[in-house]
Amino acid sequence: MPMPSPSSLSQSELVARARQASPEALAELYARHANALMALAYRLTGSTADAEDVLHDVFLGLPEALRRYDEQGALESWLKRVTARVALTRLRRRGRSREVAIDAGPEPADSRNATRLNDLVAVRAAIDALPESLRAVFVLREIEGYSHAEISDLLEISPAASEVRLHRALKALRRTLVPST
Amino acid sequence: MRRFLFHPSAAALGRFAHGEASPPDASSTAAHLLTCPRCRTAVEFQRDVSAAAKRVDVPSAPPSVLARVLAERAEGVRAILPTADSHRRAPTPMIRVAAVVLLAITGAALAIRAVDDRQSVATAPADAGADSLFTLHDLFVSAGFLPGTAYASELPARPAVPPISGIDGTRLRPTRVMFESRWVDSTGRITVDGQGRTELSPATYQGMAAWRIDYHATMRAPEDGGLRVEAETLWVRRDNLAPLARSVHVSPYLRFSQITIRQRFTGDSVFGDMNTDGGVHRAFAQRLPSAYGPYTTDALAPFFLGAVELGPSWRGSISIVGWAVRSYDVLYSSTLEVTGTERVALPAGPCDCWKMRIATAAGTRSYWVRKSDGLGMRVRVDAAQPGKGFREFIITDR
Repeated sequence: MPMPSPSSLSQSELVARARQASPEALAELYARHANALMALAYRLTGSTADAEDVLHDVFLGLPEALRRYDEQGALESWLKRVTARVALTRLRRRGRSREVAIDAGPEPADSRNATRLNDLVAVRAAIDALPESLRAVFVLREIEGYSHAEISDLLEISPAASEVRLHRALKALRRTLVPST
Repeated sequence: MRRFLFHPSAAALGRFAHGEASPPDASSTAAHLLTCPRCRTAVEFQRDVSAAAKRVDVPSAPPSVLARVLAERAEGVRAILPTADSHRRAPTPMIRVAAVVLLAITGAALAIRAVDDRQSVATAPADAGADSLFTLHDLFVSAGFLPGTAYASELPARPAVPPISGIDGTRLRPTRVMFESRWVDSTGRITVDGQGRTELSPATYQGMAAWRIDYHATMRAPEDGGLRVEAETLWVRRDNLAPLARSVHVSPYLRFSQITIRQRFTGDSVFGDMNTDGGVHRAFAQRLPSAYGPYTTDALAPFFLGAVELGPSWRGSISIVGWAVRSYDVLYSSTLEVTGTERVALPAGPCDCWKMRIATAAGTRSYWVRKSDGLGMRVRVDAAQPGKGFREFIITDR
């Protein structure tokens, strides 16, 4: 009897096969989750090359790491936490080299603009310009929806420190994106 | 309700912005936001920048990364990942038991609360207390255009069709119309149980070009059959008809001789307060998710489609903002679709109309919109039992 294709497997069956290091199962997990993990890695590192390296590391170690996944929560949430840890470890290990998009050059504050929140290039540039410690909290809280308790666990800081960093990040973004304030 | 002597903390505003504040904190923060532009702006900015950040393009995962992973693993390369749980101690059996018990209690409480909420919507008595005040309102269009409040106790499903687009409010012209609410029984006998007028006129609101809509009606209250006066004044932006501010006044209302709801629309939220002559006061702040827009209100609804170009296959979605005092009366999502054309005989004279279908989570109804100016001329709501008659709202004079 032919084996079912990985795309037709349930998540737990897929995880079981990936734990056995099946290349097909890894490829299927990549198809299902890699874009979300790449987005998170990119937002945290601010660099496509770094994000690809993070994604590579995650999938390279996934079969072994999955043995510690207890299947109590959603797989993608667990994968995201792992990815965030890998990305943050990478950032801590070496200074981040930021990419600046060609069309994302910093623009001078223009008091005639009430807000630049509709200009996504400006939004990206403003987030990119945040200090790394503030940027990580902003990304995890405002984009990924982590609680301050979860962020404190990921960043090894207190929840109060996470709240303070978020406040500072928002203040900095507001200064950049709403120049009249 | 706790009131802030000073500004809420940044953390409290953040929890409010994310909808994570406890009910007492949410209530006190909402009350503070009503009177504090600084904190209101902070909340709006946090929501806006969060939404914008999520829209920023990110690169996709390239296939080359997977190819590299598979090739390296085939060569025996491995990596040890810092998994989420690897550095934590496993919970003790006692902690696991406590967590399970807590989860069960919380889950049960939430389930009971959910059932309570639904029951209060469906069975609120006419003399219910303040918490049931907002289950029965049935302003002009809410009664005819929409099916009632019960289904709004939860956020409705996202509209299946795209939002109404191409809104150009400058197409509208100052208009004043009279209307009637009628019950037509199976023999064709007409009983008029409400009438009123609504007027659209140019205005400015806080220096901005706007339309002002004044609506006034006398209707029979469904609770006791008594006459009730309903008035609404609404300001919307002249260009895209986005609501700016609104005041609703109903007299009498349930056990009160009058109730007033004031709303102000800022960013993606509606803020306001409710007052009755019985001393019941409540401040509120509700979010209007962009996925359900555009938004309008009862008073503007008959004029709204005059701002878009209707055609034979036109369709779009829109939401009507409720009183927004309670979380189940914030928005009513509807899909409108042109199904044909029809010449309709009305008290104001015959007119060529687009015949439309309005679909909501609770059912459909028919709507006739005048071709020449997009004015809503008639809404028909059939009785639940076929052939038992229908209710209609019609324009009687212009």
